[in-house]
Amino acid sequence: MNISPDQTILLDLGVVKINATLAYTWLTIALLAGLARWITRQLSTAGELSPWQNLLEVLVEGVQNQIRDIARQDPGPFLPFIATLFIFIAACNLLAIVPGYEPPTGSLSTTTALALCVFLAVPFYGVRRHGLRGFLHLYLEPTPLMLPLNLIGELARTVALAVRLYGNVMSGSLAAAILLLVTPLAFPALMHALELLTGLIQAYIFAVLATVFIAAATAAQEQTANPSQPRA
Amino acid sequence: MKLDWFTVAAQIGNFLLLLWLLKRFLYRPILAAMAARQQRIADALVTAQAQAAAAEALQREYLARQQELATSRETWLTQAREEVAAQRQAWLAQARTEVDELRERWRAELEWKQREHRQALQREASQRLLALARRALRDLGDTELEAHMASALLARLRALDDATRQTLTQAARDGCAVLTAFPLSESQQRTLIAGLRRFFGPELNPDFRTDPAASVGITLETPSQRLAWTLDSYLDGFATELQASIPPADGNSP
Repeated sequence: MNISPDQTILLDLGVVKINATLAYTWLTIALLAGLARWITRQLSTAGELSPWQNLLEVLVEGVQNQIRDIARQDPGPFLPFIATLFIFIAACNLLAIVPGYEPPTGSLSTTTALALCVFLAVPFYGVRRHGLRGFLHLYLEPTPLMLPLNLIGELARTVALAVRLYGNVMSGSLAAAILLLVTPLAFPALMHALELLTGLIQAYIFAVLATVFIAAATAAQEQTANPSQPRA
Repeated sequence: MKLDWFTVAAQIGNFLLLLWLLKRFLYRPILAAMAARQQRIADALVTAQAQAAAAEALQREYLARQQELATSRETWLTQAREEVAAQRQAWLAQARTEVDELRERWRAELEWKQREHRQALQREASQRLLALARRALRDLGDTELEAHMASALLARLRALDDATRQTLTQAARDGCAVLTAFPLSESQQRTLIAGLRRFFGPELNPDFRTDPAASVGITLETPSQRLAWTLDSYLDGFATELQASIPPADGNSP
């Protein structure tokens, strides 16, 4: 029994191995991009909105409000990154209900990749907003002695992000598969329905944590640049 | 739990690809549509606020005009009432004056008509009285009365002044006649002739004539002069005095 879609190799070209994780990821990307293109092809700026446009606007505006509430900053720069994290993870987890679909988020490679993206996004937004010197000065706070601990903290939360998401998704799929063998059909179906809720919650947690990490970097940088202002 | 670093790198690339695709096909159009709608709503709000402000200004202006109109209306009404009252008083005064004038004119006309009627009545009464007197005297007239009248004629001759008497004497020389309504007796004729000759001379020989249509009395006629004493002359004198006693109708009659 494969516990990760990475182990399902679809095409082996030596170093390049196309596994199920990549295949389902591309499928999900194509589905999301096609759906977005189809919905946004005819957007209405006045009068009645289509239900799909309404759904997307609610989603985007909800993400904006969440970022604004958590980061207490303009959500504009962070919105594409955070919203893409949430949409991708949520889509993968929700599509798990489709028979034969293996969610890419059940692969440690995928969750590690997403965690690395967050890991890289933190300095990216911090440097873009306040410069390299100001951002690096963050790791010397409150004293230069804290530099090792800060670096370990950065790595630890990245690993925690990856493992948390992987563990939840993988365990959910694995638990459903095991229960399918030993219990009647109704029970695994209920577990799958519960997995949908868990998947959405995991997507939300991942996005919120990414927001918190990015906002902490930018907010700390602001605190360093303007020490007279109170900490948010 | 095995980590495939190729897959990790590929998933990073996939994520970045998805990020780019969603940014192009989802966030940018959706945010643009939301911004456009918000801008449209903001514009509509601004327009609505401007219209509301204009409406409020219009309402204030309308209320001010209404207040002004109410004040002006009260003033105009008061002024109009005063003018109407003044005009009514003027017209009433004018009407009273015209009525007074009409009443005075009517009264004057009535008085004039009453006076005229009274005068006509007086004239009619006097004329009837005179006619009645004439008829009564004519009915009562006889020879004896004529004789008394002859004496009265002689008395009148005696009362004439000298110039008149000379003129009458000259006229009597050419002949004279005595005219009566009733024939005189012989004695009366002799007495009268004797009296006349004392005035006009002894050669006077009057001719006695009788005219029943003549009035009661006696008339001495010469070719150029005439001296009479008749009841008609008395009555004519009385009538003249009566007419003089009746005031004529005044000139301001309507």
